[in-house]
Amino acid sequence: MPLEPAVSVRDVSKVYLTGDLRVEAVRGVSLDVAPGTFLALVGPSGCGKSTLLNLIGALDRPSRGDVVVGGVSLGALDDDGLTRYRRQTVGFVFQFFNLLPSLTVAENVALPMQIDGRPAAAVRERVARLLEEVGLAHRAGHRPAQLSGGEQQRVAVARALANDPPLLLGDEPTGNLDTRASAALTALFAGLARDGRRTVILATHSPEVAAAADRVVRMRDGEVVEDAAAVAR
Amino acid sequence: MSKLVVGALLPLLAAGSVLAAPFVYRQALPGYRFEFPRDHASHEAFRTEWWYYTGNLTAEGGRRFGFQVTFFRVGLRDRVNPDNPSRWRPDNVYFAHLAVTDIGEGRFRYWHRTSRAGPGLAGAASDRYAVFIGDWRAWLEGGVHRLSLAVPADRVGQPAEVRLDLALEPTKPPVVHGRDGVSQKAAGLGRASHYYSLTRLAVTGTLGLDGRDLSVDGLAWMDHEFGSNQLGEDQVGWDWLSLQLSDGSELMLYRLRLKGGGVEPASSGTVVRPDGSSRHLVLADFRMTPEGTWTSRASGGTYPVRWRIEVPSERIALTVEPALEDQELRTEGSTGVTYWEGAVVARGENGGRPVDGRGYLELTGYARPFDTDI
Amino acid sequence: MTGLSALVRRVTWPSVAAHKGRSLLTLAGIAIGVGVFLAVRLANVSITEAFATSLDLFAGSAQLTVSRPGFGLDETLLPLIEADPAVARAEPQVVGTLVTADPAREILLVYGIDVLRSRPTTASIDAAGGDGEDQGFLGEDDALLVTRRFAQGRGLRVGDRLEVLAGSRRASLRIRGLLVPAEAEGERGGSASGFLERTVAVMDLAAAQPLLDRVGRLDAVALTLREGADADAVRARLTAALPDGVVVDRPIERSGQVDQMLDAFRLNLTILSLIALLVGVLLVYNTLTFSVVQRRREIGILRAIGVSRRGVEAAFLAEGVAYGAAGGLLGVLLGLALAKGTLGAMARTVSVLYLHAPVERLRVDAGDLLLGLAVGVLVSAAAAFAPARAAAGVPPREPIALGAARSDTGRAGRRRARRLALAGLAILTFAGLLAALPPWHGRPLGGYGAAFVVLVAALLVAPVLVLAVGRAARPLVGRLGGPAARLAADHFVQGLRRNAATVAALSVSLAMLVSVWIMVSAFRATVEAWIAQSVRADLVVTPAARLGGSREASLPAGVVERIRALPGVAEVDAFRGADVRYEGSPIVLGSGDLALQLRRGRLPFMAGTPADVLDEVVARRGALVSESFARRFDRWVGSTITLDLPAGRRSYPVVGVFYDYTTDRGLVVLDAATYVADTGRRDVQSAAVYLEPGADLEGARRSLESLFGPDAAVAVVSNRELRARVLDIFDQTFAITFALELIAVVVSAIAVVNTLVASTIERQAELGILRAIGLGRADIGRLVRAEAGLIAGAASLLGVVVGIALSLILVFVINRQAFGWTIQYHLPPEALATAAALAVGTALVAATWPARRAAAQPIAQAVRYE
Repeated sequence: MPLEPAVSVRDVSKVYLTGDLRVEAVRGVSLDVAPGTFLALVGPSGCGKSTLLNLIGALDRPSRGDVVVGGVSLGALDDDGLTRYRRQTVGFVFQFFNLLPSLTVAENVALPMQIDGRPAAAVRERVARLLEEVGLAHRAGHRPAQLSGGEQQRVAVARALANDPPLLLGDEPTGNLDTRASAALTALFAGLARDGRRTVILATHSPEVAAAADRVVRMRDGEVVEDAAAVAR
Repeated sequence: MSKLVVGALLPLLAAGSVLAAPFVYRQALPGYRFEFPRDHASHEAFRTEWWYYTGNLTAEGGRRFGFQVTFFRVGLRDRVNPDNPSRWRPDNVYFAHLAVTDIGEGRFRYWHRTSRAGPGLAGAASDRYAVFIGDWRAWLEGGVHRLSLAVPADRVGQPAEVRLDLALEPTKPPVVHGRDGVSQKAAGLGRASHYYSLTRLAVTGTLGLDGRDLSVDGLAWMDHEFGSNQLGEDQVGWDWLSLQLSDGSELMLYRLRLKGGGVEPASSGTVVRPDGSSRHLVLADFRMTPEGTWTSRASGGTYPVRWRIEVPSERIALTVEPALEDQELRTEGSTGVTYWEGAVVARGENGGRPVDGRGYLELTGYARPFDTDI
Repeated sequence: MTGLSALVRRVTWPSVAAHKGRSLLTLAGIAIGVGVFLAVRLANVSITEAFATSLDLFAGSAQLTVSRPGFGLDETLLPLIEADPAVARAEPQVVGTLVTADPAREILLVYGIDVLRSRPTTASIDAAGGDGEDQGFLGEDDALLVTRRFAQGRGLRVGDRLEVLAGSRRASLRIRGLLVPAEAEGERGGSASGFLERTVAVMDLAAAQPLLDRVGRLDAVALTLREGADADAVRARLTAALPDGVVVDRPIERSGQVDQMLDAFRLNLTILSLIALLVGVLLVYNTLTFSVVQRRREIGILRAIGVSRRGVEAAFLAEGVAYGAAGGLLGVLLGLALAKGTLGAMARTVSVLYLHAPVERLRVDAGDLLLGLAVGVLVSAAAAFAPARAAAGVPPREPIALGAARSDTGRAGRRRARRLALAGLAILTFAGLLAALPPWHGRPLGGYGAAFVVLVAALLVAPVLVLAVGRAARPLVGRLGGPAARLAADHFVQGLRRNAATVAALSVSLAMLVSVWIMVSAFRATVEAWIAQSVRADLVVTPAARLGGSREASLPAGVVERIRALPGVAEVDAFRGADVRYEGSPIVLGSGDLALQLRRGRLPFMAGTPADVLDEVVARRGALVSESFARRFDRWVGSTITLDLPAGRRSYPVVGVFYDYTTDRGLVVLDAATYVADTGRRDVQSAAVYLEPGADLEGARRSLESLFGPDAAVAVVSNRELRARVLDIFDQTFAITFALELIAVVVSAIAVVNTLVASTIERQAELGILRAIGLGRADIGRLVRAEAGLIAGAASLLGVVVGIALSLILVFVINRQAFGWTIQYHLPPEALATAAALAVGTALVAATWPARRAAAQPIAQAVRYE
């Protein structure tokens, strides 16, 4: 029997109403993602991949259908439950504006743990380890503005991992980076999924990222149009 | 003579005198003995009183004028609180009317004043003859009556509109009208006044008109009358006439008109002969017949200003014509009464001999009778 | 200008419309500022005009009035006055107050006129229902004419009776006619002067004189001159012909006297009303600054497509002007709504402190309304100036950079903040210099200037304070409220300009509140101590009408002797007083038994020792003067003052200066014997009764009350009641001041709301990220409230410090110069604590809506923001 999927998207639709305009950003998408998968969501701008990612990350609620993560139905959670879910189960990396400019690198990374109420000593230790992991230990006391784009996104990854979430989501995390930084970040994501404990889902335009993924799901007009293991391509 | 002017004031000023007031005005009752000069002065025991001068003057060069100077006193002592210490307590209210008829120019002008005594603003002495409102004064000085009145111009620096400084010397003794010291005005005891006249006063003095002082002389008539309750309620007005005739005699007649057009039976008159003796005339003794009217544009009143006068027993028959038609006084703001009072000329005969004369005619109750719109 | 209008239509308006909440709050702020300013102005103007037209009622056409301040004009002078060749009409009058005997205690301003001479110039008399005659009441001592509105309001008709208190008596008057405004009769053009204040009444002089205790005296003779008369020449001629002390002046000067008397009081209120306006200005600045920050990118694009710097500047100025115009318009409406209440409060205060103000109608002319509008537009334009300049400085097509908009927190911003703070500290020196200036025409302009400079300094210091508070608070807040709260400290510092303006607005209003609070509290304590020391009598006997507000009421004759004869009474002191003029200015001349005062009352002296003073007062016929008098006229011990009194011109050496808080006009006190001899006035306004030790207070009170018979209207007040009453009047006086200050705090609360909303909009993305990494809605709310708390904290700090500084200026400069009062300064800690708590409370309440709004923001949308 195969493992229970880490993420199960079940017939999910999302409709936005902008004025009189009704936009169905996601239309009846179903998707099961096995634990430890590095999945790339690809497709043209406006295809619904960011929306799907937001639904998985509980930044938004589906208009229809449900998302089940680790056996827990997000639709069944109340506001507090969703907050806890976001805090403990998901780590999120965005394209822009990832870090809080007023906090240092270390403070940014520590923030989710502090919010979760971890003891200060434990937080300090884990921040050090995470920065070590993303190769930015020497930048701990710097402000985000003093870092390059690639470094900033690595800090964002470290922050996303702070509470050791089983699910890591990224919305165009390399979108603003040059090729070298992009490659380094992609490697980092790939490495995170590889140990099998963590599922990584990235929405991306980048063929390099898609190439590094275990599985590539292509979307168009809110629907999944292709779903294949990257190796098969 | 009794003036409806004051009669009109009575309901006005006496309104609301329902309070039990300790003061009671004396009635004009028969048996009153006049004494002069005492009786020229004010009689505060009576409610109403007036001093009335009318006359015809001639200036150098023959310019002719008529004048009227009247001081009224109306007592309110039966309604004021005698314990009120204020000088403004209106024991009496004083009014004065001044009118000048410029016969040659055909111009009639009049002025009036009202005041209470207050702190020396107006008054009438009881111990001597001296009445005044502000600088309008009448008084007796060594047997000569003096009048001094001036009306300053509206603008500073311009001469007074009118200035009257006259000395009036009686040439006959006072004539007491009526019988037994009372001049009856209606049926009933006290419906009367004490009334006397100086029927022929020789006048000299100055009349200032618009800056020109004219020396004037002529003849004047003075009435002084006082009483408390003389008017009947059904009287609507009256016609009063005084004439000084060229033969040295004088005539005074009055006719009280009743509601519904009748004439008060108490209406009367007096004939004064050149020697100063006089005869009381009752209504049956004389006839006053209107012969022509004049209508005032200002008030709408129509006045019988032309008369035919007859006293058959004296063989007097005269026609009376106004020296000027418009001699109407409208005294809004003081007595509030509108009446006609003016110089007249008379022509006809007395005792069968032709005479002419001058005098004054007073016509009241023709425009808004009892008008009290102050 | 078509370019500008297009810009406004396409760029400014959509932004204003998009941020409806913020725009409305800004409008509300300006509206309140303008409204308060206008309300106070209208009330001021109405009071001035009420005095002017109440003079007009019988002297409408008079060119001159003759009066004898304090003692009344001897009426026997009237013929002399009337005899002047230039005088066409001389109309005598007495003016006094009666108090209705019912619990409403309405004050009637009664004109006693010679009804045979004078007719009201602005009213006609309607005797409908009576006997139809104007003067039918002549000779009746109880005849009264009241306004038709007064009669209607009380259901009275002609012929009905009205019970009143006149001096120390009760009187029953009969309404004999009604006064109606002349314009209603169509007799005169519909001029404003046709208005009759409801509580004006008319009597004949003969009835009014005894009732108002003016027998033999007139309050004024109004002179109408002949055409072409030279009023100054007539004035000189009459002044020479009439006794010393008789004043011949133009009616306008009489209302000018009233103006002068009320000047300090009104100036004070006007200045206070400006505070709300100043806060409104800060609000506009705040809004526009934020608008510029938020739209940098848009401005950059506009610049890139060819809009000039001046175009951008003009568009933002236009936005400010639009806020000003719309807010001004609302403010005018609000002002009209507020003015009625303000007028009532002011009229009560003026009546209590100065003279009866028969005011109830609000006089509104278009000019005042336009002024309100113009003030709104001008101050908003001024507030828009700096943000507009900043907008014009945005380079074309500025690259989109996160956090770039917050450049003012960078090094340059910090440097700028420091420079401003230094400038702020520097101008404080200037404040010191201003405070040291002497009063200008009796007005403490230097003091007001100093206070203004201190407020400006506070504005300048605000940015540095925000930086310092933010930095200092960060670890503390973090420890208390967790990492989210620490972010609040960061937000606080990052929104430097906006927060500095908000902190400034809140602290300015707070400072005013604190300063007035300190001043009033210190003043109250001073007055309390002063009464305790100076009022030692067990009971005070005074005409009931006086307690009802009739200032000139006096006690029945022989009162002192009759009281003295009562069992249990040890001593009686009679106080006599009159409003007179010294060197042309209104003062109060009074007298008491000084030997008794010094023995019993321990008058608090500023200069001179009681025992010596007593000797000199009696031996040298000296005068004691109040501090306010000494300061106003610079007459201290050793100088001589000369007064024109009914007995003639009299000089008195000043032998003592005492503290007094009863009048700011200045008080001169003579010994009773001197006063009676020199003024000829024996009437007693109140009597202080000292009982034998151990006497029964209530028993004594009862026997005093029954002493004057059933018709008397005399109040017997115990020492304790008197003190309570004085403090009551005191509190009433300052109620309006407090109301104005609280309004300013409300306006600044709007600024807080505005700022917090701005802050959350600006940080929408950041808040989204925080939500994404696990911050709950409640945490977001906490974060917003923490920021509000920081604003409040900084504002409290600044507000309390500046408030203390202002209170020093109020107490030692403004009050001393304007009113001549020494106030024993002390800081009431509860005032400071309450003010700080008020600030925090206000801010937290203000944070409610922004917090809820921020928490409700959808996350997915938020993170896509920008």
